[in-house]
Amino acid sequence: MNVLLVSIDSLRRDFLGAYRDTPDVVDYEVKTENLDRFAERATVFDANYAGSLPCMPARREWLAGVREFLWRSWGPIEPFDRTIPQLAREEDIVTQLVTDHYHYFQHGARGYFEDFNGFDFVRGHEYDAWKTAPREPDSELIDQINANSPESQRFLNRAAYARNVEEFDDYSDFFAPKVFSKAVERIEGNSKWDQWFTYVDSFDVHEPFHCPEPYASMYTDEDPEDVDLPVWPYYGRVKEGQSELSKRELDFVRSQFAGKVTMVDEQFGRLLDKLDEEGLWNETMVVVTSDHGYFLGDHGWIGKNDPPVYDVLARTPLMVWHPDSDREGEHVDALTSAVDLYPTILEGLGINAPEWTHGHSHLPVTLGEHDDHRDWALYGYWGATMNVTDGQYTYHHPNRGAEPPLNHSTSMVNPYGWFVPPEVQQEATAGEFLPYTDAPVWRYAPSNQDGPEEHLKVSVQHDEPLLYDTEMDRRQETNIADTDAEKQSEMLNLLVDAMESLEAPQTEFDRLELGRSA
Amino acid sequence: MIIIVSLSMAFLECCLNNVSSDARVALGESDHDVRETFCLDRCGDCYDRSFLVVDGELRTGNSHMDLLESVDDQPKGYEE
Repeated sequence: MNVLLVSIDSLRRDFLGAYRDTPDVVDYEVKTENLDRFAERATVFDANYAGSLPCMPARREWLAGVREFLWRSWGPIEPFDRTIPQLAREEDIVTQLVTDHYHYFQHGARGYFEDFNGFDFVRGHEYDAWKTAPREPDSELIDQINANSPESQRFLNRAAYARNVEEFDDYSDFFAPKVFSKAVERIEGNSKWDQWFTYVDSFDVHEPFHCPEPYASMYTDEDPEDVDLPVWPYYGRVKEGQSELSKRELDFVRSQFAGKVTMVDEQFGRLLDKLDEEGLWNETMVVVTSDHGYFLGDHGWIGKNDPPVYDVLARTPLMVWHPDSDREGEHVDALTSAVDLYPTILEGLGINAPEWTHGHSHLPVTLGEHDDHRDWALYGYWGATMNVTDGQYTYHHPNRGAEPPLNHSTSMVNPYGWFVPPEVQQEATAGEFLPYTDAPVWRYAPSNQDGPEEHLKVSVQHDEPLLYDTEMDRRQETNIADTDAEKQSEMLNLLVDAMESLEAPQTEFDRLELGRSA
Repeated sequence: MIIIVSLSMAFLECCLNNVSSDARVALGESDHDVRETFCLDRCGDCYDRSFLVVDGELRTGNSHMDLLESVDDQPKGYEE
């Protein structure tokens, strides 16, 4: 069996027809006819949750089967990881990565693409350090992407994007068309091998929401090149600070996000056509998912990272086609988690997953052998709030700041500053700190968290416990933590049980002020 | 001539990665409305020096204490 994995970054599932007729934040339908076409033949998972957030932590879950955020921030593949392409090589399975996801090639991450037999990297998205000319890029786009210091040579200058796309002419120059064109080509080539695993990792629909026509005008009457309208808003609250957006600006951002969704959908359709053309459906398992969603004014936020980890971010699309499944087009409510993709894909390839993985294959759900899968899913960002769901209720436990979080890695990375050169962690200690490997790792707190206890309190995400019943309150607008003490206690116990079952470090319990189960 | 058109407190945003423990306390004790975030997407400045985003505008300096003083000297609505 071949496996084709397609991840579409930042894809909110409510923008897909398979999940909702009209997205929550707009009053128009967004065209996703190809993803919907795929959903008609796939098993559609209604309760799939992210695990470690955001982008690269999600990819370590998928490719290496590690629920990393309990131990580590954004970082590299570790020497003790056994990635899918590593394991596939041992079975003579050809592996291919096609991506424009430049984080693979940036400070903070390494080891993700190196294991594939082949990889394509479409250059230029977001901050990709690609072009250095022209010195003075398109001034209108500079305004629209909020590039404040085009001349600065410091890391992550937004002007890099304007330089990268300066010579783009029509939609075919843009990222999703290039990625999926290359993917179609690779599928055709790989089909000549006995068995293959192809991973198409599209950075779109991630910002900047800089859309070519016809997509830029598809969902708005505004002039998409109006310099007063942003295509790359800062993350944060929409009513304050640098992330503040007027209603007109927010409406425009939403329209450009929607345009990108439709653009990616049309490109994804080319992959489906290629599978048709090559007659590959009967020998190929196809998985479509996303790493996380994106706030578009939901709960007053734009972007991600700082808001509470609401379902708009964490409850992600997942659709799986397997030729032996009878669940074509069926929606299933089995609770699944990002890390489960690792053993699922390995099982699809006919490879036994390592015993230590944190994931559990949900292929039996797709094959109709089971209806249920998990009792809980744990998710969040390293060092921040801890979130758990049982598939109906979500409970979000605040970071109490009682202790600094500790980063565990064979590398000295910047736990909070992922994209700049790593710093020496002078206070690091080494030891066998991880429960799933006997490999020694460094353990260290962020270097700016060395003060007394009262100095550690960080107020990102939220200060108080949050509890939601997502069946009664799908958009999580009513926090019932104060009114349903019994359910809160139940979910708190589930959270502790989940952390204990993963053998989370004691420091995680300490910083969250969580006791052990009786 | 200097005209102060408003003496209202400033809205300050800072990055978790950029503030020291002491700076966090100083910011918290200031009279300004302060938000500490995971990332303000100012990574280049964050890597090199202390910074704050003051009422939506980037300000950089050698320390957050200096920056706080500059905010007190040049509050929101400052015009010269």
